[in-house]
Amino acid sequence: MVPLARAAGTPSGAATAWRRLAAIRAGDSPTRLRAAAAVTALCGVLLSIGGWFAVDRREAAIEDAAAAAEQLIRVQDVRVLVVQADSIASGAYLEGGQERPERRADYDARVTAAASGLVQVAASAEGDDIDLLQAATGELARYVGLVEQARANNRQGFPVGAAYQRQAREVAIGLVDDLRTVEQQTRDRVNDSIERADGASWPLVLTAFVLLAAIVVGSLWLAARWRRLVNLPLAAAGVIALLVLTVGVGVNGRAAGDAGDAVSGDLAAADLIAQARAAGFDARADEALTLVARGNGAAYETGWALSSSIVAAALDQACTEFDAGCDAIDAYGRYADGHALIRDLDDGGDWDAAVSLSTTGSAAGVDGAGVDGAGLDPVTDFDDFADRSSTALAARSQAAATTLADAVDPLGALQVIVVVAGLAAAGLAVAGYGQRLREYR
Amino acid sequence: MTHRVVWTGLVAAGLVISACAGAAGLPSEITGSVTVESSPPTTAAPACTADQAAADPVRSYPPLDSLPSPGAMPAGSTMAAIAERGRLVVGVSADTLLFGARNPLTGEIEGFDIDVLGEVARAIFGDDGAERIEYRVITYAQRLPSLEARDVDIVAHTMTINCARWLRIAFSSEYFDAGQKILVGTGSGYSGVDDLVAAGARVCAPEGSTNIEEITKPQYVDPGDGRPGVEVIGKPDISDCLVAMQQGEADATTGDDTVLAGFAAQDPNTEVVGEAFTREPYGLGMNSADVDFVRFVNAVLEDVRSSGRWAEIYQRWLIDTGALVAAAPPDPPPADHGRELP
Repeated sequence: MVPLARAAGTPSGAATAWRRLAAIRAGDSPTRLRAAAAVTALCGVLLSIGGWFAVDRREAAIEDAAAAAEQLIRVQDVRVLVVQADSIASGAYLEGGQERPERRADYDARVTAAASGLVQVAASAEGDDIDLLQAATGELARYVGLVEQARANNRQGFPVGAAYQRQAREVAIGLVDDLRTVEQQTRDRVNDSIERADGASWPLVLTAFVLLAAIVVGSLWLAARWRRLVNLPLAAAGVIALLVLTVGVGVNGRAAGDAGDAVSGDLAAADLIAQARAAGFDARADEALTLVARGNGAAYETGWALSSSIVAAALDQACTEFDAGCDAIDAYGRYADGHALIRDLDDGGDWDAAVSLSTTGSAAGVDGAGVDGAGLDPVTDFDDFADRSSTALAARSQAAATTLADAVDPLGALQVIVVVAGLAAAGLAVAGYGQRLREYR
Repeated sequence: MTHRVVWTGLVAAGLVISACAGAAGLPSEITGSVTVESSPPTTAAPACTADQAAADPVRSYPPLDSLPSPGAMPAGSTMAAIAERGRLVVGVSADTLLFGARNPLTGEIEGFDIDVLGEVARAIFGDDGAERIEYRVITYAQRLPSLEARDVDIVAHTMTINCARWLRIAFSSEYFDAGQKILVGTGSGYSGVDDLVAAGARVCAPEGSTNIEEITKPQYVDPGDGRPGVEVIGKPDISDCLVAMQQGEADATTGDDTVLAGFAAQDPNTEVVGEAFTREPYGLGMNSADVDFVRFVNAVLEDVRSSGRWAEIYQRWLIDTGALVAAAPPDPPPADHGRELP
């Protein structure tokens, strides 16, 4: 008996291989059976290798997507903290030298959190992001120094404090721009990873498909040549190949699908809400600066309008597409009405009332029909927007992180199962053709 | 035949399975949009003709023969329109200590310029005039454009009267006589502008000011006698120049002695040195078409000078604060009312 392995072609030169192939083509049935068994077994082994490789690549890609998603949320968190701190600093300047201790504590807490957030973000950064984040860390330190200078000068009644405050804001804007670049690059990385996860399954599909094809063609050949309806081992191998092609590929596909859904669902919603929050706090800082500029804040008012259009667009998309953050829309809308009233008061020459409305939420001396009667309290309304958007953001980012972590869970087991299935199919194929071979002994 | 059916089925299955995957991913960052009103085209600064330049720029229109009583402005006049509106809209600085600065403790804008505006407002509205002032905080560079665009009725912003500005706006008579000096770090060894030219020092000045026009003249930046000349750093506002000095970005600031005195008061590590190398007569700016308002304001200023109010304001802001060492206020600068009415 010629060992099966040799029928598959031992490495004895191209000429030998060609002679053997010619022998199989012209050969007798046992030779053909041995060759068929060898080819089918090889397809089984290939399924093991291809399947293992495909599932592994998909697992790695989904894990990359999860890590990038986590990074995106962290970067956005830092951006919101910086904008919040700047909004507090601008507002404090408006209130004069007597800064309320709780405001100071709020500011300190934000700056400290932003600094430690930057360290965390930098630890998991890659590529260009590392340089940008290093620059951002330097800018944050510079920002804090300028705000301290502004504060120290204000306390002594020195108007140069205003110049320091202006400069601090410019540094904050540069810092935020750097963070936005990192955010966009991280977004791209999430999308690339998901795309890689999607494209990773072809070796599994291909090898399972080829194995199934080999088994089906072989079975049909056996049935036609030997007039046996079913070769049981070969049929079992076929069932395994079919199961891998349906269930295995299904499980594998579902992992990528879940990951993709988490990204284009919860993570996209969280991304939109985080953008709305950053733009909202930016608008609030601009509002304070229009008042610092006292009747001449047209540039800051343009900034307010731009930021508010981002809030509106981001929240609208989050609410209509993902049913997220809808209650923050009303809150911001009410705040925007209050802001319009603040602008009316300032433009109408009542700067004191405008400042009071912006910093305390009510304005004494303005008649009840104008302010209190309208029920507008921009401070409370803005805080509502901040709280509601914060809740929605936490829920969605948590959901996205959980789904992404869960998505890879079944892949470890699947990897083992596919390897075993491929080897089992190879063994069964050999056994199936062996039954026919025995008839020639 | 059977083979083909099986084959087709498998291909179809493979296609279906591979087509199952595919996700939209994260959308790009949201960018907002806002319609910005187009700003008026900036025209090149008109140049004075030789005749115009020869005429004394501090010459303003003759004051009204008699001031109308507060609350009774002549019908159809610029003042009547302001009175009807109930507010005098003024363009001021909020960070020029002693002249126009926001007091961070009270939030009020105060200074020499603000007190002068108070007199104008009282002449229009009566005793509560100062409360009828609506302040617009503007930068040096915004002084002329805000008057041309009628965003403000009047500007009091340590503004030097000169020929080029007369081509765009109108000035009151001179209400303060200042001069351009330099502010340096104490112990820097610079004792005048010549030292800065010799050392090639970095000198900061506010953009759109007469100070920067002066310091960028060849005699300072490129003297051509082997001295390196100063390096000029322009900033939007003169207070940014103090910041630049404190941050080591500039060695000196050039500006009006009055403004620099305010800086020296804010930063004990700086001092005003040397003689004034220009004369900077301050005037209140108004729209060039509001000749009646200029004449009204000149009449108010005549009152302020002769009643002793000018000396009071000077005493309050420049002597009591210790900014200038003087036993008593000097005489107010004389008014020249010889400009021909258009």
